[in-house]
Amino acid sequence: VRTVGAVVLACAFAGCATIDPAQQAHAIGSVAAEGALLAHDAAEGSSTATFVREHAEALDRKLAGVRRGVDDRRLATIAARVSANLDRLVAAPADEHVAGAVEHDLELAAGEAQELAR
Amino acid sequence: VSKVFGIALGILAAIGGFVDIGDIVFNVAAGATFGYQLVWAVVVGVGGIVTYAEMCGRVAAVSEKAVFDVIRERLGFSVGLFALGAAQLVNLLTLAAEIGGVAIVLQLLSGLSYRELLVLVVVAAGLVLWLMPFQWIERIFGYCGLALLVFVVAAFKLNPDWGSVARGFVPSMGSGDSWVYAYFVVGLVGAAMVPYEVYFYSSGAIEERWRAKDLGLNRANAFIGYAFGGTLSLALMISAGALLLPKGIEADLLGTVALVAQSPLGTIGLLLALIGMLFAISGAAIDSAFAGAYNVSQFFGWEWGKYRHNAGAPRFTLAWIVMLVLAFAIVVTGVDPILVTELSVVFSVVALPLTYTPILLVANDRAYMGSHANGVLGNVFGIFYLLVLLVIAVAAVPLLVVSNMGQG
Repeated sequence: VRTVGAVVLACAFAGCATIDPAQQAHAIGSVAAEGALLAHDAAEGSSTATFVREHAEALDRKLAGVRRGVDDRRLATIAARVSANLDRLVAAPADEHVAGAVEHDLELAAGEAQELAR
Repeated sequence: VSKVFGIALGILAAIGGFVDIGDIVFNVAAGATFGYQLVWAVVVGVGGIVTYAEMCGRVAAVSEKAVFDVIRERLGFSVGLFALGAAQLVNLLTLAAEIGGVAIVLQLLSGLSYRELLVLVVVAAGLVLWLMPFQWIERIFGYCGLALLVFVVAAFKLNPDWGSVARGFVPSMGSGDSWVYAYFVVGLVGAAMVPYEVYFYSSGAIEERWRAKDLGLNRANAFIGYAFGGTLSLALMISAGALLLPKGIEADLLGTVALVAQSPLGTIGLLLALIGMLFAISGAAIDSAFAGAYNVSQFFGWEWGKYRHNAGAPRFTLAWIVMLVLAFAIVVTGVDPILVTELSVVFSVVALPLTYTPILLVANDRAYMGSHANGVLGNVFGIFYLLVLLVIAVAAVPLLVVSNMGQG
């Protein structure tokens, strides 16, 4: 019983529970929406370059964790697009034009991912 | 006038020092997931910590006994040792989470590498613990933590539906996944009542040599300081509910918390949020390192207390150094501090009855407390919260598994 309990807990802690495609789509949509919000503030000059770069990197790392388990081709394409946009934000965190373009594309990606999540 | 001023300063420090990484993580995640539906759980948790902090402070002031003196005396050596082991495990996880959290906030401010910042944080915490007098530690981190009031401003600026917020004060079954909802109830109550706060609070009362004449100060700190501190928790939840939920954003990064203040208030909101988080989480790290050292010293009857200076209480000093080193060893492995935070809060819920039961017993013992023993109201609240804690202690770990750590 203790062994089974330990395995169940270890699975829960390590996040090995099954993740269905809707949950994956929701997670990718969440990262895209948050990236868009971050890019919006960056485009308006309402943030610091350090925060934009570091938080975009953190979002990209979170996305990488989700992408590893994605089988759906449409979802994989959206995730790749989100990651590419976050990379652009990391590379040019103080560029308001880049941030504006990233915001637009991430908003679209968030909408598409949320659509797949339904 | 100077006494009133002193009480006001203590209350301000209690407000600024109320929130730690567990409160930040659970309140923002709950707001992003359930909006304002769990406001009532924050109120329950804050009521619990107010009830038991006041009781611990009163017991310490009247009987001159801190929490683990009481636990060993009331539970005996064997059960007390089990309680000590549980408390130390939770303290260690909490400390590891806080150290990791401080490093992440510094990374968001400076852009330096996380691992380098971990080393810097542990060294800085060690220096503060070694060099700074007790009252300075309590006040400096508490006052600077008041920068978190930016989330109160953010909550208003985000213009939430106040009718829905008001409905959140009434307990409900909630919409959405009920296991996740129940997990957040446990997390929010546990984060508010995390045990290191009462270990630190009651030991602090001994450090500051409170006596029966200081019971007014104790009540002011607990009732006003912690209650207003709870408004910071509510502000975090309401801001997240207003900004993140409509956009479908999950909140499992500390940067997301800062974003909640940045979006409505711009760069100044971002900086105040990061500075507030930095001092609130650092203060909690120092409190939990001290709490670990207080517990083990009180249990084994060693000399303890910052007022004795480091050489005057060598085993106490060694105990907090060991706590810091072990916590560093945990986070330097690369484990996610947010994950450690969630585990520490859930496990602390399991350990809470072992901490609070002996306090309730001693607070009722007229041989110790004389005329300052619990009244009817104190017992009604004390017993109610003990029952709440027993229920959530039993439910905590199963909910952790069933809700997939709140992910559904």
